[in-house]
Amino acid sequence: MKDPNYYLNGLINNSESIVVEIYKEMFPKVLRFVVNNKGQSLDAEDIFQKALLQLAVRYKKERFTVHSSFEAYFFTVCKNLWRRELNKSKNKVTKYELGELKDDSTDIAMAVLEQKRWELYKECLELISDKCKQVLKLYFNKVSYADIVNKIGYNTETVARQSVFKCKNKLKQLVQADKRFVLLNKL
Amino acid sequence: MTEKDYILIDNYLKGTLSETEMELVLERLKVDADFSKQFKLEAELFETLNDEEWSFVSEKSPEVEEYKLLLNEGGMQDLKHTIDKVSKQKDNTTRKLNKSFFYYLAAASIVVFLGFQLFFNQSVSGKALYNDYVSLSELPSFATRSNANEIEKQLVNAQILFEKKNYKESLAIFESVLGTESSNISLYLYTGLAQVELNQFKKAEITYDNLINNPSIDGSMGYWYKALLYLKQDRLDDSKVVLNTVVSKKLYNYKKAEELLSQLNDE
Repeated sequence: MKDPNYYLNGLINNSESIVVEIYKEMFPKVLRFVVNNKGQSLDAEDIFQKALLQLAVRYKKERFTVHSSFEAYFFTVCKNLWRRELNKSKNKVTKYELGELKDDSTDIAMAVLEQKRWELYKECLELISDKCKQVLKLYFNKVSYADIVNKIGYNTETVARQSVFKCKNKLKQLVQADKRFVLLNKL
Repeated sequence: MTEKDYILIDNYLKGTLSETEMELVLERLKVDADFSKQFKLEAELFETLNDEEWSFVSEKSPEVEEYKLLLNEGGMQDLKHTIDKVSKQKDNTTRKLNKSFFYYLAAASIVVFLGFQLFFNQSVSGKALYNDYVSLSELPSFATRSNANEIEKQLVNAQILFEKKNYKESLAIFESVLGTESSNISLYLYTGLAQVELNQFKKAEITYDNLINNPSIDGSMGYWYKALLYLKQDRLDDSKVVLNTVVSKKLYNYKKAEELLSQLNDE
């Protein structure tokens, strides 16, 4: 595939041929992913269209840089949007106002910020030591401390707990020091 | 923030707190700013970096508003239309292909049929006529907007199965939905046609009778399909009776019914 900016510029310039190109190259893959993950073809269509608009509006506002191939990046955005969709329907007791149907533009606008935050956290996770990364990945995916002890080879659960605590602090420091974090949290 | 506080947040996010403990946490979020700030960050990290969760932003954030404004501007709306158009064209190309292929088959089958007629002077085959007239590719589609509900999604799925000739599985869905959605005309058609394909002629007849008795104005489509059902079973006389009703009352497809009658009477 071509340079990411070729596609992003095409989107903000409303180029039909580039939209067609993205559909041709990417839709089958997104469709397969959604259908294999509790979704239907209409969901895939919905996600795909939202992803295109999300990228366009974000690029229009801030001309961000995609560091990977456009294909990989677009697929990640679609995967995240689908994860988002699946979590919308979850009935969770949190302090966030979820559940009601948002109009499309609110939904896409929120998804832009969430994607940006996701990128920030993922990038910061890549900056910490391999060992920390390994521990935190287990921790964030709700692996019990007992299992973390076994998988990483700590002596006791207390050691595992301390290690998670330290690694998480490191990650939080990196996140909080990033200027994007400040921007994302201004209210 | 004490270590205990962090453990508390941890357990909250992992969902291992009792209800009373959870309420305490929620209470504390209201009064303790530092706790609340830490909680927010921990929750964001947890929900973002867990592969199953997703961390939502507040829709009241000022940046949400900025993006919303941009999205509602002309440029983005134009792009939205383009995306809509491309998406529809994509669906049409697949549909068109199916259609032209179907017409090709239909034409081919008529040629073969006429060939038999000429060379063997055989009697009209109801089955062949059924195939010529049933036009499975011209059925209404269940495809709806992106915010389809569960049932609509099921129907789209069933339609895809039907188009792939997986009549058994599609019928299972159609029949179960028909139990609750008796006003959807297309649903009767797909159900009946799938039953015919599976040789469940008695059931198909009941389906079409129910369609005929449906108060909707389109219920009379049931006559046409009932006539075809009789054709399929080579019950030519029964078929003629129904076709005559279609023609005399000018019901759905009465022109085709005339044509079909003349072929049956030529015999």
